Amino acid sequence: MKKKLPALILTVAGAILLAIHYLPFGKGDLDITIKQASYIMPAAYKVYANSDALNGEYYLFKMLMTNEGKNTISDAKVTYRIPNYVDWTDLETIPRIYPGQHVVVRCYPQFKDDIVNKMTQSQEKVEIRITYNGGQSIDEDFKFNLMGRNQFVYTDLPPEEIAGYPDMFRNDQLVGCFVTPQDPIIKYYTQQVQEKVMKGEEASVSGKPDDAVKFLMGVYAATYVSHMVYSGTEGIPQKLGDISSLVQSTRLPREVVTGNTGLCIELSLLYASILKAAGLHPVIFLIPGHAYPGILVNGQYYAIEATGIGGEGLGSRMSPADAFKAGMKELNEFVQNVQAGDNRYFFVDIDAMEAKGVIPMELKDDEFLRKKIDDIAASFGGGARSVPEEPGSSMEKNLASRNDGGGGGGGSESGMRKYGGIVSFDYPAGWKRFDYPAPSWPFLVSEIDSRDGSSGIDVINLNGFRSSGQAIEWLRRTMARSGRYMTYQYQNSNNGYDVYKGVTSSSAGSRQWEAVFRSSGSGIVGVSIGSSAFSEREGMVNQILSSIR
Amino acid sequence: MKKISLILLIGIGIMLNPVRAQELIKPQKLNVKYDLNGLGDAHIEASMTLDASQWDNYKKLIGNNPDILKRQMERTFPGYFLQNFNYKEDVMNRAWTLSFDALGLGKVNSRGHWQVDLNSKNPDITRISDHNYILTSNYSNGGTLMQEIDNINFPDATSDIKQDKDALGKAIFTYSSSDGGGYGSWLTLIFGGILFLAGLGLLLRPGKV
Repeated sequence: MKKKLPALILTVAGAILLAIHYLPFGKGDLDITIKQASYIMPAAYKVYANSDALNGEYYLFKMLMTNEGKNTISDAKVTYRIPNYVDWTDLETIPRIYPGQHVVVRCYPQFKDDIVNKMTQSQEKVEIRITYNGGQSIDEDFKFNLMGRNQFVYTDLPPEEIAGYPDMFRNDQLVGCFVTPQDPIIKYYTQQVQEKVMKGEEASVSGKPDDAVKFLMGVYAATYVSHMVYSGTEGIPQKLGDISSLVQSTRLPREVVTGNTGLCIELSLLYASILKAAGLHPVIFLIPGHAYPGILVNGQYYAIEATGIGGEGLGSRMSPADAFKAGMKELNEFVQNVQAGDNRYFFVDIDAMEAKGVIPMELKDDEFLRKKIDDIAASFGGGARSVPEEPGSSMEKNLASRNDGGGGGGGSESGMRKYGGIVSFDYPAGWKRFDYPAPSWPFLVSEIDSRDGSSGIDVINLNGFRSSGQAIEWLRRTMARSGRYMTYQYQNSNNGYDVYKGVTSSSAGSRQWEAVFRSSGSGIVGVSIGSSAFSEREGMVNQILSSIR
Repeated sequence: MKKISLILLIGIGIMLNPVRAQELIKPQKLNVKYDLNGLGDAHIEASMTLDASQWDNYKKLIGNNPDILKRQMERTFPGYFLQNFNYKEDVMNRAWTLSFDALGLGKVNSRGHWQVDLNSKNPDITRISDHNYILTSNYSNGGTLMQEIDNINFPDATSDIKQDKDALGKAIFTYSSSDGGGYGSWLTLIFGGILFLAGLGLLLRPGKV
């Protein structure tokens, strides 16, 4: 037996070390830090539920667990519940937390669809339980504000963190949650508008801007003939935990239709819902104190002033054509403000936000609301024709004037068309014009391309520059960053314009061009005409240049 | 790794040369270095060099509030706790560097391996050495083409580093680490195993007749 004693000691020592490694001896000092949301908006419950939506930045809470003891903690299981809303739910089980190790657990709460029936704000409690080492546990809790379904809180930043306007309206990226194209009531309303106001349409099928604009004006006509009225409200400042924010009660699109009234953002949400239900690409333009809806077709934006319906009590009402004209004017101002670097001007692309996980709420069908839609649709009797037309402002005339280049006047007898705006000139009638073809490059006001794509005209507006030399040098440097290399030579000054000639090369080939620049009130405007077959088109280039005013 | 969303800054001219998808566009580079420790925390350093007009625009946007970058990082990395922010500018070279610690970047998975999530599918990963990997990604940020180069450095205490996928098909790194065991470290496992097996061997060895 004595001979076996050393072997026995070795075996026992080994067994003890293995037990220390595998078994959770000691208390294991688990420290918990919780970062919580101050409020949850039921309208955005699908965003809060999705860890991938908007990069996962909208969570209910995240928790830092730190093992501050000397022993490994095993099987740390985190569960939570929100009494009356979410039952005990497992979040995560962490097999091991080593001494000194940090582990982060995030909670994206899975509210049921009926959360969107919550009409008023309340304070709710989150209970968290962490069990570990096969029996030890820690309980934590905190309170948060569960808003009503119509309440929209503009920011999630505490006051001391807010540096400017975009921070105050940080949650604008969530407005897409109020765009409800799948709502059976909105689908039904859209069908009624398509059938009784537009008498059939093919905007989403044809993909033509004219059809899409007609659709936009058709939606306006529907709100016009049903005597929908504009009604404004303001957000109410509220303190929600660490957050101080404006909270606005926002009617859902179905409530706007059946209530026959809405403020600017509500009308914009309604338009976006109908446009999307019809298979189009809606956008909402947000500017200080106002919002208006728009549409993206073939890379171009169109807008309409939805609040033009006004109301008898408010005085005048705009015809659809005038509302469209007003919307396009606002869009032009929007682009100019973006160009000037005003970050209070931005737009929400509903499709793009949906791709990022901003998914609308689930809404159920409702016979009573369908009946109300039927009553409203009865007023559609005369269709868009029942909208009073004003001289020079019918849909057709408006579209015709827009097609001629937006600058007034149709194509001339010589086969040229007039461009009007910050500069005016004639260009070949067969060329295709695109206004603001690249919203992220707002200085490019228009691009006009020949049918074969070998030639083109750019209309450029560069605010803040004092000379054409300064402006063209800035263009050269910025183009170089995007792989386009430009060489140019100043030629002369003629009729108040500085004339330049040059060549721009990229991996797509080279274009020779001639450009003219002049001062405007706020900077430099210019027109450049270029072609990959410049010598063959020189006569045409000179014809365009000589018409510039 | 998460694509870092930054305030940018870059005006683009397309004079006489409309944008075509197939054209070669020179991206703006963002370098991000991740230095992991043996307990799954990381020191992250993001840096960028701008040209004169970009720098001018950047300064207009950031002003005296570089904490805007801190908030952007917190939104970029919601899965971790960030601390110890440090911001530096090299104004003569129009460059900035932001560094911070990210707690909880790596954690132990259900198989007992350390795991770091890359939060993207099929990333472009280049192995530089056993402990150093480069991820390259191109993406659009507010109309500007970005090239983000993530340099991931695993500590010497790690081994068996493998590229894998999680249940959702997103790329992950798994590895072993000899750090952070406390009393329950790998040393106790190895020595315990050796002692136990040695003792057992001696006990079971047949005695002399």
